[in-house]
Amino acid sequence: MAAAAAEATTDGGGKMIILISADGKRFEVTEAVASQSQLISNMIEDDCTENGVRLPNVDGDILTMVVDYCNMHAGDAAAAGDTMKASSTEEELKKFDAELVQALENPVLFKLILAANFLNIKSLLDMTCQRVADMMSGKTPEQMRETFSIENDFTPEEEAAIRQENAWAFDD
Amino acid sequence: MGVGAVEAWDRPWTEGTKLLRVERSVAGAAAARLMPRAKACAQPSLRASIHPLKPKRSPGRDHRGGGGAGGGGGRQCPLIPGLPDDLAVACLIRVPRGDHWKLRLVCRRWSRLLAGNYFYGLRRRLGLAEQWVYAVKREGEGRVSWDVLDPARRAWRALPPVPGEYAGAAGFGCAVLGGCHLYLLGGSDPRRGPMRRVVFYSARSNRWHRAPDMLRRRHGFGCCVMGNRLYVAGGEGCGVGGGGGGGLRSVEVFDPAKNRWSFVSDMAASLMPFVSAVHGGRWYVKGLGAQRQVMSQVYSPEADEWSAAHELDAMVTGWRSPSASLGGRLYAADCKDGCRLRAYDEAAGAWSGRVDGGQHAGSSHAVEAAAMVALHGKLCVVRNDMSVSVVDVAAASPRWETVVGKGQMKAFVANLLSAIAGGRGRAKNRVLHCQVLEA
Repeated sequence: MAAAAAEATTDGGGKMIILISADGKRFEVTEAVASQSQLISNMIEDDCTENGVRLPNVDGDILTMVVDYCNMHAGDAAAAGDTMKASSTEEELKKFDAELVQALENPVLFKLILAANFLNIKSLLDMTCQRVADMMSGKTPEQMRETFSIENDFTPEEEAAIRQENAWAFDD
Repeated sequence: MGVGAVEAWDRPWTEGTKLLRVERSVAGAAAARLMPRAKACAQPSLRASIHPLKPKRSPGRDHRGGGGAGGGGGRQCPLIPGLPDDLAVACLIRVPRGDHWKLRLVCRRWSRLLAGNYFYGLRRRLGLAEQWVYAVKREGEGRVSWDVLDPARRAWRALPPVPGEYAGAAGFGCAVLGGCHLYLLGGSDPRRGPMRRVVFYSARSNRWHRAPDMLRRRHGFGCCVMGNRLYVAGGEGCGVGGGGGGGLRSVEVFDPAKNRWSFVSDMAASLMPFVSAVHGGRWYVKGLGAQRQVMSQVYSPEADEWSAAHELDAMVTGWRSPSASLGGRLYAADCKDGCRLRAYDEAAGAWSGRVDGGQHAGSSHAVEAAAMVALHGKLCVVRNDMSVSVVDVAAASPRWETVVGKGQMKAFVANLLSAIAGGRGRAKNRVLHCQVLEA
C-alpha cells in the first residue's frame, strides 16, 4: 500500500509528514507542502502530526491530486530559499492547474472541491469552484441542467415570467 | 395614478427584510472563522467546516430560501447535486455577470438565490462583483431610454423601458446608491411639469422600484452621493403660470437606511446647476443663478454648510462638463470629444496635467463627450454616439483604449433604420446620464 513519494526526503524542508487517505494510502510530503492546507498547518503548529494525519473523508485518488497540486504549488507558499524544484514559473503552474481540472468528470471534480474545502486549501478551492463556474458560463439554462443533473421545477408559467423579465438579455 | 406606471414595483421591502436575515447568518459564519482554533489537537474528522463561505452547515438540507412559492413540499433539492449548498454557492458566485439571467432560468432555487442580496453581497465581498456602465439617453424623437455596457463584451445592449414617468421627462437627476441601485429622480414630465417622483433600478434584482418622493418638485437640479446619502440641490420648482421661474435654494438629502428625505441647509441663492462633482468630501456645484449669471457653491456635509467657492476660483473657472473625480483628483474634458483631459492640480491651484489620447474623434454633436465615470479605477468617457474610451489616468504614461467604437450599437443601427423608414432626418442621440452599477 505504500504509494509514498519517499525519495523526496533530500530537501532541506525539514520534517516529513504522512497523510493517510480514507482507503489507507499513505503520502509522505514535506511540511512546506503540507502546510498549504490550513488544516494541516494548524496541526503542525500544534504538534499533532507525529503518527500521520488520517483524512477519513478523502479518497486516495483524490488525495493524489491534492498532493500533486500542493507539490507543484509549494514554491509560492514556502519561504524556503534552497528548494530548487519548487521554482516553477507562473505559466507552468497555470498550465498544470488547467490540466488538473480540465478532464475531470463532475463527481471527481466535486470530490476534489470537498477535499479542498475540508483541508482548507484556499487556492485549490478557488480554482476548482472557478472550474465549475466556467462550465456554466456560455451554456443555455437547459444545458446547465443537463450538465449538473438539475431538475427543472418551474411551471411553464413561472418560466415564461422569468424569461419575460430577462427578455432584454436574450439577444445574444 | 399615473398612466403607464411601472407594475413591477411589487414587494421591494419585504424582499429586503427576508434577505437581511440570510446575510446575518453569513456574518455569523464569518465571525466563527475568525475565532481562534478552539481545540488544539482535534481530529480532522470532528472539525466543523472552516471555509469562509460556509453559512452554517445544517445536517439536513438547508432551510434557506425554502419559504414562499415552494409548491414542491418539504424536501429541498440541493443547488447542485453532489455538492453541499455552501460550496455550490461558492461555484455559482464565480459565474460571470453576463450569464446570470441564464442561471435564473435553471430552477427555482437558483432563481431565488440570484434574486437575493446574499448572492451579490458575497460577490462584492470576495471581489467578484463586475462593474457595468449604464447610459440614460434621449433619442431623436425625445424618448428617454437606456442601455448597458458590459466592458468585457464591448457592446451596448438596450434595456427594458424606463418607468413611464421618465419616458418623456427632462431635467431629471440620476445617481447611484449602494453601488447597485440606480435612481432617477425629479425632472419634468411634458404634461404635468416638475415632479417629486423618485424611482430606482436594482442591478441585483433587475427590477424597478419606487422610493419616497422628494419634498419639493424640481427639475434641472444637481444631485450627488456622499456617504451613501443622496443630495439634491437647486433647480426649478413649479413656476406658477408656467412663466415665472421657481428657482430653488433648497437642498434635500435622502438616506436609504431611513428611507426618508429631509431638508439640509439652503444654498445662499437659487441655482440651476449644470456641472457638479464630489471632491475631497465636498460637493462642488456650478450653475446659473437667478439672473442667468454663472455662479458656484460648495457644500460640506459634516458642517451642513454652503459657501461660495472663492478659494477655488481657478478650479471653478476652468471646470467643464463632463467631469469626474478619481483617486482624489478632479478630471474634466479638455476638448469636445473628451479625447484630451485636464486635471485640477490642488497644489498649484490650476488645471493642468493633460492626458492626451492623441487621436481625436472630432467636434460634432455625435462625438461630444457626454459623461465621465470611474470604471474599475480607470476613467471612462462616453460620447453621444455611444462610443466609449477608457484611460488609466494613474499610469505613468496613460494609454487610451477604445471599449466601444462608434456605430457598434444595435440600437444605433435600429435608429438609422427607423430614420430611413420614417423619412426623418437622422435621429440625434444625447447621453443624459452615465452611471456604473456593480453586481
